Amino acid sequence: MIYVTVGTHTAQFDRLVRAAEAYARTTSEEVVVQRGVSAVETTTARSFDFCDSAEMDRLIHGSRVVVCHGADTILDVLRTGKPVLAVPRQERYGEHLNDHQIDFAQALAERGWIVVLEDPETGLAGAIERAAALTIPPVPEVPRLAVAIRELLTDWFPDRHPTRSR
Amino acid sequence: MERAYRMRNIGFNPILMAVAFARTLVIFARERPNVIITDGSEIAIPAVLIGRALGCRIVFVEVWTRVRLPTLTGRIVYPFCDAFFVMWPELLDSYGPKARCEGGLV
Repeated sequence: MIYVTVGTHTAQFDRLVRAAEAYARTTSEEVVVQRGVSAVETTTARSFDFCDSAEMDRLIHGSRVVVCHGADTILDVLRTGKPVLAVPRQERYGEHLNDHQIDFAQALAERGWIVVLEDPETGLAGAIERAAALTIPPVPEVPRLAVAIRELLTDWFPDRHPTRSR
Repeated sequence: MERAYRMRNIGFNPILMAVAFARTLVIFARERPNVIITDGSEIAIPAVLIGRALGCRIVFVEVWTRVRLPTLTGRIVYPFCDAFFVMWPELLDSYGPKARCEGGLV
């Protein structure tokens, strides 16, 4: 199953939803689309607007590849070990206020964590398979940044013990 | 987490910002925080300014999705922070010497 998610952003992402529907017609594999505020109709792909995080987790776990917009959803998926194909929202299509999703997705792709595709209307099928073929290292349980912040707190408040996390 | 307070998304709405300042004052007077750790967005402004005024240590973390473009909130609060983290080395160029990069979430 290919799970396509546009996130909870207030802007449309019709371009990705249309591309997912077109892809669904070319494959017998199940395609599920979380379409957010996009009003695009899908007849082959199964789609819905929003879901709760439990449903999101179920869909991610049940998928072969997750196709998502270029935001923090990516981390949620990486933590499950599922492959990510990121399609960044772009300002010029009215999908976001700026193009930081392009930079973000490209930065992660350059470091080998995900595959990025800027134009889902051409090449979605190939990009999905490239994502499926990626091997990524495990996501660190505690980022170095968290350790750095904890060290600051210990420096500032040496007589306080930081609460042990699980 | 011991207690959580929710606030409406502020955006560029000056009334909501004024409300956020008032609520933050009341909450900080009650809770007496020692450290403010925030990644924005707009709510960080009253949190940092009032926190600073009350003698708190201030830590700001730019969001993971910002590689090259700093956030407006980050630029506003930078002068008031004791520690300032960006998650991508490329973003260090947008800030002064206080900014540090200790990597991102992966």
